[in-house]
Amino acid sequence: MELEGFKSAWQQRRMEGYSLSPPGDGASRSVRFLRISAARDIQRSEELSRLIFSLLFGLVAVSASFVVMAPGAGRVVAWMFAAALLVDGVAGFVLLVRRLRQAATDNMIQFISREYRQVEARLRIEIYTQGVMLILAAAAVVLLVFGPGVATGRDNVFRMGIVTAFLAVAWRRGRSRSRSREISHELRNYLKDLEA
Amino acid sequence: MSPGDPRQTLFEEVVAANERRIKAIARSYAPPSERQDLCQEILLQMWKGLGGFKGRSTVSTWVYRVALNTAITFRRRNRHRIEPAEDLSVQATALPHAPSDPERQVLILEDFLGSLGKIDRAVFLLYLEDLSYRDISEVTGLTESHVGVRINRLKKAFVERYCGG
Repeated sequence: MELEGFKSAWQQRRMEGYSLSPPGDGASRSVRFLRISAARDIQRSEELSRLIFSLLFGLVAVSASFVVMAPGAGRVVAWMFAAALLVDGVAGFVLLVRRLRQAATDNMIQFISREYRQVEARLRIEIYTQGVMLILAAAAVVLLVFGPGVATGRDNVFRMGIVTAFLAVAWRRGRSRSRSREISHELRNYLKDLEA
Repeated sequence: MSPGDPRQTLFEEVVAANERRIKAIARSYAPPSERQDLCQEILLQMWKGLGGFKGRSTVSTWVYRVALNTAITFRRRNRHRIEPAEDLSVQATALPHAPSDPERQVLILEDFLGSLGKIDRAVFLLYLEDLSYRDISEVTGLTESHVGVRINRLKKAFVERYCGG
């Protein structure tokens, strides 16, 4: 059969000249290099930046509520915002750590199924976070309009700021969710293809 | 970790013995500008998974498994910045006779692989690398009979497309 000739050419073909080991003088160097690559992967991950952003933004919201706002509903909304951010950031990071700890050593069906389950878990978290953010934004608006006590001008500005931040984060989660949905769809197609 | 660490030594041996296989997968799943990145990612996954290698399959099957899983994920993660692979642009449509030049044959195979979905590409790549149906089944998780059916379908498609039916 003619394909056998192609197969033989394939097995004898020349490969690229680059080496898989980094320039250096020993095994320990290449392992160190791999560890640095792993650390860089984590540093570049969206989940880590989301966690840092959540912690910092939450801290700013809580601090500003003490410094700028009078005690009352506005402060509570700011704390709720900080708590929601924190939950979102930590949940995303836990998913990342779980994913990084699992090596790609399963067979293809098991591996893709696992990836699919993780993307679905991320999707659920994103749906939950977006929902919570939108509910809190609505609650903040209600408090802003009908809340007890006389709010100062500065207080009102801060409350508006919190509402805007809620909506901005909810919008971001919406975008992130559409990317996760796209990945989930792709993985589902792989699984269907494998099962076909 | 000391240079004499057994895991480290084993890792180096596995990489040295399977360098060609890793490069073959990187070549099929990433454009030239991303191949070294993909190879590094595969090595990283191998390093992470080496401790869990129980020897139930051969080392080469294990390497194919890790490399293909990583390649599929890598491609998905970097999809928005991947450009078409330059050397897969052979434009080899149906030829009246199969070419005998090995370099051209390889280009035609790469063109065919590039036209396949990721799962069929993996199966056909493993077939080209001369793995048995049993080994392909271990890498993919498909049954041996399913592997056989797929490979026959792919071979038929290849012959119809490039060898004039």
